[in-house]
Amino acid sequence: MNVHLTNHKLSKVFGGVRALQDVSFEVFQGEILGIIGPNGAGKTTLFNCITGIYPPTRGEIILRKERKNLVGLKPAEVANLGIARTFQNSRVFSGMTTLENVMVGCHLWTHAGLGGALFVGNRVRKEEEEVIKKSLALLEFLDLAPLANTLANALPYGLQRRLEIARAMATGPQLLLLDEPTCGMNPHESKAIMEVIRKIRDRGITILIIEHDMKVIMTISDRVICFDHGEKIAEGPPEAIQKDPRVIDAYLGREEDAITAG
Amino acid sequence: MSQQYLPGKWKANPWLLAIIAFSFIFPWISPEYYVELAFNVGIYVILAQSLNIIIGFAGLLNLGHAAFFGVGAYTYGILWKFFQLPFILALPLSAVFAALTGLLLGLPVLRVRHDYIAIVTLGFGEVIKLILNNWTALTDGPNGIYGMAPPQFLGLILKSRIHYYYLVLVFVYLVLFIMVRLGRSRLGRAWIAIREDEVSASSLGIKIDRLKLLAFTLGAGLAGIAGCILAAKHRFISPAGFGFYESIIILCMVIVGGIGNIPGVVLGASILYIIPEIFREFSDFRMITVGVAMIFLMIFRPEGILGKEKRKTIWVQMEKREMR
Repeated sequence: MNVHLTNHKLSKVFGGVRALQDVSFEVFQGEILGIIGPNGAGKTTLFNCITGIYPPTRGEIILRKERKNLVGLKPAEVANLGIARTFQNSRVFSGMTTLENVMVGCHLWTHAGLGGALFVGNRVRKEEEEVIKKSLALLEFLDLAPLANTLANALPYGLQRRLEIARAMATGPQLLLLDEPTCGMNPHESKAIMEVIRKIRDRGITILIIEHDMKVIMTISDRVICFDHGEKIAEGPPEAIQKDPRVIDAYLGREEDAITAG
Repeated sequence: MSQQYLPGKWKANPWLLAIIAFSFIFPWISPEYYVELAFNVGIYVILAQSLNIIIGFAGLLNLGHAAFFGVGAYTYGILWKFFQLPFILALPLSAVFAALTGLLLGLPVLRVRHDYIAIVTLGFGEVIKLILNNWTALTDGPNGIYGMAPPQFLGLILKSRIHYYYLVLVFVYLVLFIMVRLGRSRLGRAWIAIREDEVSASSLGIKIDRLKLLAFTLGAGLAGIAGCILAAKHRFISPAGFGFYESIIILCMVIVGGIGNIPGVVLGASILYIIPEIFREFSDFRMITVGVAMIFLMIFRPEGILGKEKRKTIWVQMEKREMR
């Protein structure tokens, strides 16, 4: 398998807090890589470093095909290299409609600027038409089409999460970073999202997914990485991770701790 | 399917046509005093809409907008003073200089967020006013610059109120056209995305710094045009008309009209200019009426005078069409 993205010895320090410590791992082309870990383990920090929200304190993030180090790039430049993401807390554009949200996602591969806005020529009109067509298709893909004209903040939370996925997909990514996509969903909705994630992978898109719902992560992932206190403590197929004593320790606490506490 | 509703295809709205027709015959059927009022309303509509690009679209709270207005007016004044440059050549230069000023202000604004933008722009507005007041060699200081010759177009000398009314009317429609087109474009969507959530917008590949600068440049350039037209009509400019008070009034027009709401802001500018005129006999106390009106508006119409922006998106229009 080809490597899509390499993280080499990533560290991120916030004041005295070490959110990430020498984290190295590889993401393979076309896989679903699950990332788990207790709260504050550094999962979202990792996503923020990859997407350029803030730079890591040390380390490299290499996009293999482009042979490019992502460290130091701005979020827009990272997006331009085919990396899209969703956020842990829904961050849809609440004053825009569902359709418009996805249309904003098409910004990356369209070109009309100030001139295009003022003198709407044939090229701009065609581009807009394509944006609408593609956005509607994505809404269809995520079962949001009937709500195309609803303001995003009027959508229930679960659908806002879906909308965020549609919006990220609109950028045309090769790598999609999902930060707890099933957070706040009931089991039925989670199951539907898993189906969607699989379909996205079948389109040839590599997926990195942070998830707290163990059932989701263990069913959907090809491989799983577990973080604790900013360090990578385990990596492997889901079955192995589930049995890994370090992972169990991280989630349930160490046996000695329990004994001392008791 | 959606072809009919893409930007560029203009759909005739009878109400809109009536208003446009009325605005063109207005000076012939009304007393001159009202034509004068309408001219000033037009200037404020341009100013409020240009600020609407910066605040309404890009979401950057600008408290120094009158500075761009002043730069536009003074560009004409100074070019006239030194080179007797005619209005028709000064007008585009006013827009360019004001736009460059906007770009200049945009650069420090990129480094700050939220409320701090208000402070930076507030300071900037005061700096411009101080320059106008104190660089006497260039601006003649508080005395102002006067004596610009009336503008000429192809032999027509603009001298009556009606002439200036039409001059400003043309630019009001130009600015409104620009606003409507921007609002429906890829650029407008990106601006609104920045306003709504910068982090999301940038993670979708929107270059926020560049677009914020563009908003400032464009908004400032249009305000500069308003300044140049005002200077041409009054044939006199002084720093007094371009201070913090003006910035705040323009901002109030945008807020009263509803931030980002294009027809609302036209209405907001008209109301806030006309109310104090109606109560002119009470001299300075008339500003109380503006204050009271604003308090009531903010209580009963916090979203702006037209209420919540009725969003007609492509999709609504598509559905309507299918139902027919």
